[in-house]
Amino acid sequence: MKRHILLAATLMLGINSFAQGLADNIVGEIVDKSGNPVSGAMIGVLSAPEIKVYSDSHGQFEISASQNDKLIVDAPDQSKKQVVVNGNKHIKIVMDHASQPVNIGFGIKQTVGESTMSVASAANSDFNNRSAKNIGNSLFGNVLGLTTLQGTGDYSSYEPTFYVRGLQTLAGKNPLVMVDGIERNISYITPEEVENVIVLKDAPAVALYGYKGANGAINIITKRGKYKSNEINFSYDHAFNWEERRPEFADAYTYANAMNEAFVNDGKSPKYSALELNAFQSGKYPYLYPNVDWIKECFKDVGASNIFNLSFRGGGTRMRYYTLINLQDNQGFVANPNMNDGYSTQNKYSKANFRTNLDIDLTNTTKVLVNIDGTLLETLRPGLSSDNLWDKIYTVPAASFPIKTESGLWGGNATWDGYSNPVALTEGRAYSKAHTRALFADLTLNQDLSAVTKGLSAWTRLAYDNISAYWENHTREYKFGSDAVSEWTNGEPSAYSHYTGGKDGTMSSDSKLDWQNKNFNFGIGTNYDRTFGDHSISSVLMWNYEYRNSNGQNNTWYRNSASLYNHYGYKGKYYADLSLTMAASNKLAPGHRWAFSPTVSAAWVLSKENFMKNISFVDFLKLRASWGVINVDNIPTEGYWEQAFTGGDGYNLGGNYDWSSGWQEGRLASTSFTHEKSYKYNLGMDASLFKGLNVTLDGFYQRRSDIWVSAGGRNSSVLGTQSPYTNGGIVDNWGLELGTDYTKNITSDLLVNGGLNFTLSKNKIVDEREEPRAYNYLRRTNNSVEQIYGLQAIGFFKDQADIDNSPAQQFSQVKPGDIKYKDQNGDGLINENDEVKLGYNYVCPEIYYSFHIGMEYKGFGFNAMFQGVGNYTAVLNTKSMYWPLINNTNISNYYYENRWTPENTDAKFPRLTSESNENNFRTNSVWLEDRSFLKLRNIELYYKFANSLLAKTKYIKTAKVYVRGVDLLCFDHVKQSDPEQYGNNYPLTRSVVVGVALGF
Amino acid sequence: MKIKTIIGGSICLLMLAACNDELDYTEFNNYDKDYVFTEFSNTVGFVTNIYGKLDYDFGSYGNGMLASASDESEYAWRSGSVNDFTNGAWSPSNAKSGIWDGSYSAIREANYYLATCDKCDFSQYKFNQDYIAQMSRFKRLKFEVRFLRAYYYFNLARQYGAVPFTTEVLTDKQANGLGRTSADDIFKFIVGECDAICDSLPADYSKLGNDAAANETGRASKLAVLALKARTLLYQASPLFNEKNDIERWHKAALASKAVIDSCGKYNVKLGKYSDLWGADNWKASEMIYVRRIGDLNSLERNNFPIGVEGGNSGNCPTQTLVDAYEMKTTGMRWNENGSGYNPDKPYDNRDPRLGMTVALNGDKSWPTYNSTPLQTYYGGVNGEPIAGATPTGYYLKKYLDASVNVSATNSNSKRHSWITYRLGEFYLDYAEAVFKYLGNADAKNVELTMSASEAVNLIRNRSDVKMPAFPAGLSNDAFWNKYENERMVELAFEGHRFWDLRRWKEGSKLSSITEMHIVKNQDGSFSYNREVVKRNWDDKMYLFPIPQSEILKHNNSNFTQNPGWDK
Repeated sequence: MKRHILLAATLMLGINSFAQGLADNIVGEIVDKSGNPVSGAMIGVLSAPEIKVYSDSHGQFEISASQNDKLIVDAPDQSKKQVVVNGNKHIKIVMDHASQPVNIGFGIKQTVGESTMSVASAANSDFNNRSAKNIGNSLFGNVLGLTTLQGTGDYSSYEPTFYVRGLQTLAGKNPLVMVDGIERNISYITPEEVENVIVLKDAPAVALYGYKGANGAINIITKRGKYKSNEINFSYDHAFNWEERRPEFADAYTYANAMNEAFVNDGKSPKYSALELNAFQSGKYPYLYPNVDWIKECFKDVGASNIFNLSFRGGGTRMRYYTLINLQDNQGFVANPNMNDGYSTQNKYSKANFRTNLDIDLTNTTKVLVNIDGTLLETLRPGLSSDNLWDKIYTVPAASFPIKTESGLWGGNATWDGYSNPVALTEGRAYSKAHTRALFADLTLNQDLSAVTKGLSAWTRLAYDNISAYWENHTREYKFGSDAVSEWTNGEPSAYSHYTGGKDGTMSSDSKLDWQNKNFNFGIGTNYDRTFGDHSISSVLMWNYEYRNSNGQNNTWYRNSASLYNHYGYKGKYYADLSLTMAASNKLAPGHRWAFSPTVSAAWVLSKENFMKNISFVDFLKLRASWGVINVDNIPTEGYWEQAFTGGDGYNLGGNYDWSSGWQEGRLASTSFTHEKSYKYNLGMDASLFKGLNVTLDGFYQRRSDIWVSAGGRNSSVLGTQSPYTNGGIVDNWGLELGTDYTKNITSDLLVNGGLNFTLSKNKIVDEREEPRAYNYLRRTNNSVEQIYGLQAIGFFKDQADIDNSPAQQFSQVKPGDIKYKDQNGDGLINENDEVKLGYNYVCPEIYYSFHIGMEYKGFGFNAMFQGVGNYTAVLNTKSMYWPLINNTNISNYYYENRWTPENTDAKFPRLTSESNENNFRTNSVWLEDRSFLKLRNIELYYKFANSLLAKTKYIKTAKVYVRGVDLLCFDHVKQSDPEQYGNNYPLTRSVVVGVALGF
Repeated sequence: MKIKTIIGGSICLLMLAACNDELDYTEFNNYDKDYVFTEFSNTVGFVTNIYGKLDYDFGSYGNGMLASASDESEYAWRSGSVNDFTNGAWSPSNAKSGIWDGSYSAIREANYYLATCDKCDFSQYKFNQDYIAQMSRFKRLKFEVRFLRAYYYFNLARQYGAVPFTTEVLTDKQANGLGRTSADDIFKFIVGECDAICDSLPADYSKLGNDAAANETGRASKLAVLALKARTLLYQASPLFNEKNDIERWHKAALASKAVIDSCGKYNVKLGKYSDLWGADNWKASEMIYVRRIGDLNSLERNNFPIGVEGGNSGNCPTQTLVDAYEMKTTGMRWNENGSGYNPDKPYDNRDPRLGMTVALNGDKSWPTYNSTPLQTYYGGVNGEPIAGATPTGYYLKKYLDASVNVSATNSNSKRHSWITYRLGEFYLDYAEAVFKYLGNADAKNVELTMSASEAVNLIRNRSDVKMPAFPAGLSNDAFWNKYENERMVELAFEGHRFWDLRRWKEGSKLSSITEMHIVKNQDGSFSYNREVVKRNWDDKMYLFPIPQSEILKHNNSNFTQNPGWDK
């Protein structure tokens, strides 16, 4: 078959190819960095673009090219490589580091070898081994410079937070997240359908995104078809999930003792009598003195999820396709979901995804790309999300009330009503349901205009996304109550008081549109790519338009931009980029909506210099530098440029108390009209050494200026109205990134790989128009964004004499066992003026690192990814867990065991109190914990069946079985809770996954 | 080819043009000055907003009333921010600055209105039918605004003493550069304003003729102006603001209160039943001079109904100190005076009827109406300690609460509430105090001040539903003052006076403790009552509030200093 095409091509182009000199048949093989064959790649000849052949499933091809020709390889994963034939008859082409794709969007696809920008990427094999719900939850440490922090909540709402290069500004800190170059929600994108994850970091890399790219950008590139192939892949993952580090709360007897101790500490008589304590301990009166393990009653230990993927990938020469059908479901931890006829109250998540990506060559010069992704999602939960099940678990003590009363009412009392009863919420509250429907579609038309002038082409892109979420309420209300003992006689309860509340209701049936997003993108551009001898030039002139809308007011955004991007190369050694973008946004003040963003960058491929030729261990070495201005259209409020008059306070002026509405002066108009700007500098290096070791090193510095801040920090309240916003904020941000990756085939049977990513990002508020502070150390300026401030604890008060001899602590009355603070300013008083900076921040760690190792021997293999963070601080203020008993909450065993008592003065935590103790329960060093951690993010053991074995089946081409562990280990200082999520919500899960993947 | 290029080019240009229009697309609604000041109802609305900022105290400090920062009550939840006043947490960095911020925002809007209203041109409506009526209301508005501005300055001076003072619309630079004007000058300004505007406002809006404000009885009246003047002069004469004890100030205060009383008589404002002072219709009560109208709500009840009653969350609990201020009904003596008739086993029997109206007592039935269980405020009772949030004093609040409000989960409702800003009762007491201080005797009077101090107080005690024995003639000055203070505490309980009265009298040491009643249920079902004195934080610096620390730091005027004692 190949020969036929070759023949045809040769015939068709006869004269052209002969003009190049005599062509030979060359046999080649394309492999990736691990030595796996690359199938479905297109191989062309530089001097004769008409000649195209395709690699087969063994990565092999055959092409006619002359000695000095260059072959161009275009692989399905968008990596590209040029190789000189050099008279070889057999060529083995390795898609090495330098050939990896740098996809900055808008059809501009470069390779690491020629890029001048700071761009990191990860391939499917790097991240698709967590059996994650979506791509976001697959990215932990796989991409250099991308900080991913695990989200909270149950499976359905579990989404991570991303940062690129840390916290860069005061507000609006999140990076731009895109799928195939268009800003999109990635919650529905499965890891299976993703080819590459690209992170754009420096100024030139994000310049073309106008106002949106200043915080960096994440571009999720989905898989596309392959030339002349036909692959069917199927995989099934079944996960066993469990919630590690569920909180451990005191039993009823311990709780009662703790309350008594707290009451006595507070100077009151004990809450529970000895008889009552006995009753809790003996469990003799379970309806009057209950002891409920709420977690055990509500939740089972193991949940399950399933992921099915079926994909078709391939195509001919004229058309390529990638189609994925993905089905996912998750069953949560509700212990008794089937207590009601006709419906379940389990936490459930079920999703179906259907993606088709098509590349169609309509003519030899006209190409169409079509991407369509549709999602149907349904989630079900017991009760309403506002019922906050885990919050209740963190509230209600074991001794509060029985699950149900003797007469069958749900338990509840005056202190904790029946809607605090966690079991009632999981069994008696019925359920609510959410549905999400999403359609993401885009189409790109590309016309080669070589007829006009060689190298010219034009394109246009249309994209439309629509997501809507509906919500159905099927919850019901219920009656609750409990009995309390009002009198004891002869050691037995003799009189009772009854409490009832709420009423039994029917199931509600309301539903509504929860939220909706509509996005439209349109782009049109011309590209000019041409090589003149040693000079290569690649330019894009384009105009892009974006409309984004979600339901509600002030959610309609229009942006557009015109860009000129130039990429120039000389001898494949020197590269320089210049990009000029004019962008506009309707968020900004009239007359100030357009902004200009110039960026320049350059790269020098040292390894191609003659003086490097003899340094054999250097396969590739490139230095990069870039500078640019990126604009930001983050605004403090709509219409900040106008003096607003707003509805004010009303009053009942009328003779019948009739209401009159009021008007008042609103916020004063801003007198500055510019917008936030980012000045980015980057120096970097990309290298491949020792035939397998890739190294990337970047140093960056950024100044954000003209950040919108309120002028109110400097204005007295005597002004009497809201201060205007002003472009007064400045934040500096700097750091470095180091990424290494090593892959080596030791023998043909043994493959090893390993790698390390390390990011350090620091920042400093240079100016935020901060209000004047009484002492210098109180100032937020010159410290980092989100820095934690609090009081420095210096132990606990030993006794009253200690209190009397110490500076007066002004938050609330202090007693022995309360936290004693350092008087920072020596004024003899402890108050807000003694707060200093403590630790780091709790939003984004300054250090984010990961390392992975893997090995494969004769089909057996394993890989593991560890990921950690540093310079990160936790504020452990979770109720009941760390702040117990106050406001009618519970107490954890951990606190109880580590509390201050007169006998245990060297304790970790202050004395027990049932009263809100402003002195203790505020941000201070007692509650801070080093939040750095190291997690084993995923570990996989697998076996790939030998080809010889599979050949017998005739149908199955590849087969892999695997066992994965997800988030199995965590080394940290918090210990009682997960360092990433320690609040009063769903604990993070860990999973063991068994799976099988088959290729046909 | 050429045509294609032209078409293509035009399409591109059109799209660019179209999208530039979209760049002007916004969805926010900002109204400009013209919108507000060229239309009657919006201009009136600008003034309505200044009314809307009038203060009331149904729990201004985290549901805690200022009464709980005084000796009238104790806030049941230790976490309540009102406790900062009494536990040492009150400081310039925790300055309780709601009145500061709220007053200056109202004053700015008042100044803005006064600077703008004379330039308003409504001639375009000249041929509208209601033009004359509208203009009649509009012309009066500036006098109402001047009253309101003076009222807000009174609140500031009462709380802080000297404060920044302006009648201009300030720029941020001016605001930051303003020094403090003495309380005396502020009081003088208020009195001057009151004199200037008094005759420009009607006594009764329901009797206006062709006027758009006809029947808008929520507006400031002539009586309200007189009341503001009288209260201002009373404060100016009081020891805290009258360091040299200028006796003439008491004279002026007495005359001003008398003017209120006389005008009330003229316009048929008269004392009624004590129990009419709150409830859904209190705004119509016969002795109201100005009420701060609020609206339908149940948060006050939710925040003060006893814990243990469904929906009740407990809050401002009357102290034993307050309960002790209620005299014995028969003898008119205090509980601990010899021969008073007080029975320690039945401490609430035969007391001033206002006790039962103001305070919810152990054993009270139907409090609130939907509660079928008599109150159990004793230790171990359904509404008593050790339940979290149960009353620490043995009592719950009744005054201002509407018993018919239901805050249970399934049957809740809201009722109209209004806060008493000025009522006639206060001015009898103000008059009594001023005339006593001026003439130096409880029974003294003269041709100008025709009513003696005791006579004025007795009028209040003689309400139809109170009928307490009159103050006897010939009381010593000390005896009168004690009984007067007591009477004022009882009559004006929870109306936002006690906190300020103790300060202007410089009797702050009375705030250094309160008494709680600990009730224990005995085996035989009877109760024992034990008083317990609880210490509170008091320091003389607390006569005035601290200026918020941030304000001190933001002001660049050397005359802008902290109040005495707070600068450490």
